Amino acid sequence: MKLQTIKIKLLGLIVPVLLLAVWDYVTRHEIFPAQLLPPPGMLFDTWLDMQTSGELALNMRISLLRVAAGFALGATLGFLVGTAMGTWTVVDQYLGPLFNTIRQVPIVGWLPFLIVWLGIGEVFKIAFISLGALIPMALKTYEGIRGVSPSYLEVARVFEFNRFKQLTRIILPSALPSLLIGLRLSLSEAWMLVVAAELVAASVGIGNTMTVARRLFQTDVVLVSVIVIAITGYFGNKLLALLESQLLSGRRPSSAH
Amino acid sequence: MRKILGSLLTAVVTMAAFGSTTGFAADHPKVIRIGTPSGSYGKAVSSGPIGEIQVKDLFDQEFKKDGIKLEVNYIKTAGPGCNEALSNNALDFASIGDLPAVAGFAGGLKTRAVASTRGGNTYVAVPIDSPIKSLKQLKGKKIGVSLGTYMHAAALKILADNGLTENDVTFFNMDNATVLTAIAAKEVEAAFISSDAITLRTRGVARVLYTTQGKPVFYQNAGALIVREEFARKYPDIVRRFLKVWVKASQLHSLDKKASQKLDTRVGTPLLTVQEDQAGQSVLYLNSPKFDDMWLSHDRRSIALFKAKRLIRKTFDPEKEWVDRSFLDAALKDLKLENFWPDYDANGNPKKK
Amino acid sequence: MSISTRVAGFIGRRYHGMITFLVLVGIWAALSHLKVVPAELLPAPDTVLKTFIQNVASGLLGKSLWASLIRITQGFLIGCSLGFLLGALMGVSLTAERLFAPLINALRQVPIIGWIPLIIVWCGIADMSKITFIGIGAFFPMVVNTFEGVRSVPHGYLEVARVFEFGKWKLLSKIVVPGALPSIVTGIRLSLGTSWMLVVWSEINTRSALGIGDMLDSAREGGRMDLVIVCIIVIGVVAFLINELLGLLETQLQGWKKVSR
Repeated sequence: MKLQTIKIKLLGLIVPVLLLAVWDYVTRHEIFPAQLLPPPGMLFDTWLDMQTSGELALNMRISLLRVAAGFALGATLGFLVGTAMGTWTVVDQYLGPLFNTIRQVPIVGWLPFLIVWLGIGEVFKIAFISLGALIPMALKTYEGIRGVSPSYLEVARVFEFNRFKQLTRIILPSALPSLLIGLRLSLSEAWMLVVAAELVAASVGIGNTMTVARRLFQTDVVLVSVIVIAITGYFGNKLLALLESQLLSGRRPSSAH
Repeated sequence: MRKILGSLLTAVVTMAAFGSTTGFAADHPKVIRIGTPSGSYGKAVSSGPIGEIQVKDLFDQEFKKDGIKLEVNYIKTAGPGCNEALSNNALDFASIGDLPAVAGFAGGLKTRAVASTRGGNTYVAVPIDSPIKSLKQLKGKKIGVSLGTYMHAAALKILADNGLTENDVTFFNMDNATVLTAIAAKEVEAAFISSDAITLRTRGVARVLYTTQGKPVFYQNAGALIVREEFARKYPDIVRRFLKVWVKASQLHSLDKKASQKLDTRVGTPLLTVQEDQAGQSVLYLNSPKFDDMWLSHDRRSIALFKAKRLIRKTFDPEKEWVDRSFLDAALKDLKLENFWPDYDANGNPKKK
Repeated sequence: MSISTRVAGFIGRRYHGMITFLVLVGIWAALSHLKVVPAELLPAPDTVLKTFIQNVASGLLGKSLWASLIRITQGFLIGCSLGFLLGALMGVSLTAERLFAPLINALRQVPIIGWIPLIIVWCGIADMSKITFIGIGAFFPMVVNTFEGVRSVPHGYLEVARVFEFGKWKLLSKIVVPGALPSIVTGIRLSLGTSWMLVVWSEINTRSALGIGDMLDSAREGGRMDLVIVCIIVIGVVAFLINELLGLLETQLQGWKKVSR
């Protein structure tokens, strides 16, 4: 690696390392009580303990399964809804306003409603996550389809493509960047909502681990859980970004949302 | 621009110099804040010693002359919530159950146990038409329980008696008020709750599968009145005087079971529920604030159990590291009540002197 | 144009959506009045309306909503301004970017909702924790979007500034900020949208004071589905109004750009 790149990477480490040092100092000299801010060393021990007891792996696996299920369901439905609204004006006219209204309500607002209807089991959680994952995917799919350049559609008309061919050969490929952004948004929404659902009503899962730890005044476990959640989210996002760059190798991938 | 910055700076400095006095260490606080689990009926009143204090103005009798007020905080999330509030210096005292008191201290919360509390049965309730007939059938079921409270601790003991562990069932964390709704709405298949179970049974909403009534004392709650260590260090005199009020209240509550039970209904619990819950228990025993053998052995056994169940990370010796009898002993001496309550042994029986 | 013409035009444009709504409400009324769905799960529309009127009259809805609005304002202002400052700093200074970007990107990954248990431990359940939580939620979209906005200012503009020898302040206020404005406005929109969601979420999780989220969760606890629906509708309406407000702001600031919702 060039010296310049090394320098840049080191610069990026300064602030985190500084924070770590301050954190360690503050907890060591009890400026901040340890029950509020566990020292970094203790966090590592806790993480190790959670890892070896299998507690972390078990709960993360359940949460990830829920995310996968909710994301798959929600993104698929979102794609279908978005395509329907984007392709057929009639659908857009009648369903559009309804969709736009529903998406105004912050997803967490639906929580109490869903719990009353679906109970506190898995059905509720998957439904909740799917609902959240559906919306950004539908939106981005719609935007992508609507945003197809008119000249492409001209080409389709010239070649006398039927609706289906038009969709699969021209529209969807051209909408791909939007679709991929939609997937990313969908996934990060799903990840956030699994934590939310588990914080409210679950018996297992990383969100539940946090809830129980809070009830037992184990701040270290709460902090470790938050970090694990962050790292998982990060890798999930990176994975999709990789997929995005592969599929859009000609075009510039979007950086953030 | 310079002018604006200049005047801003002057304003900030002035504010800092003559600003709020919350940082000043007064020789006594203006308010003593005590936390207690909020009742299932949401009323901002208490039963037990705090109830006596409220009804008979005991706090004002001691502290009015100093201009100090009592603020009772009803915490929805019960013991665990009180721990969080103590940790944020939002409370000075708290009266909580065995598990939260121990978990707080073991988790690094700097408190001192200054008086004991005891009593508190746990019940297993199921929806009225539930097919569950025995505790063994709880296996694999959805169970609502307020995690981190004494009912959670009791649940573990009850399950163990039936060959089950917490891994054989699915615990859903719910506050007291939520659990009652959950049972009624059949959101959960069973619940570990307090004497509210009796009320649910009376209303025809649930069946009571099991109760710790009549069981050995280890199955019941043995909590504590705890104080923030920093508060006790700063205002030992205030703590001593508060303990006087507490002991007086406990004494008044120990005199007449009927009268005390009537007072306890002010939180909204029906009288019949209170009577059934406390049947066979001596009101003197229920209100003893002493750290006798009963309490100490209960606490030690609890600590061992909680450590084994990974509810706490480290064990400690309650008598050496956590309990501070000095305030209680001073209060008992002041009020000449040293021998009012007998010392109860590990089985809850009064020791012969 | 007269009022009636305006209203007729408005309805005419939106009548498709309204038909869908009327159909839905009709189905809803039918389901509940014909007892296909029990009242505990789905109270009839007129019950919901009655509850709504009751709560407005008693002032509870107003007070709760007001409390929530105050919280979102405080949290949003703090988080948004801090986010703007850091984002702008990182945008103009390469060193600042290199110093802070990795950390910001890492912290950004924590689903904002996951912060709540930690914040409650650190800040208690009173207003401070809610406002901190909202502030954090408002902070991240603002940092990212301000940064991107500043970076996206065309080099041509900066050249112009150099030619005219603009001072630092002038450069920032006349060139950089206006150039970054679209992204900044997007950031504000994301920030505000997230903030509203977080107000509701933090109130549900702390249940310590009056607020629309507290009202919602309290209604669920009490089994009052009618009140739950009222709260959800109110929450949705406020979110909609916030969006509309921002849309107006956007049009004002960028008259020529097409506003996307």
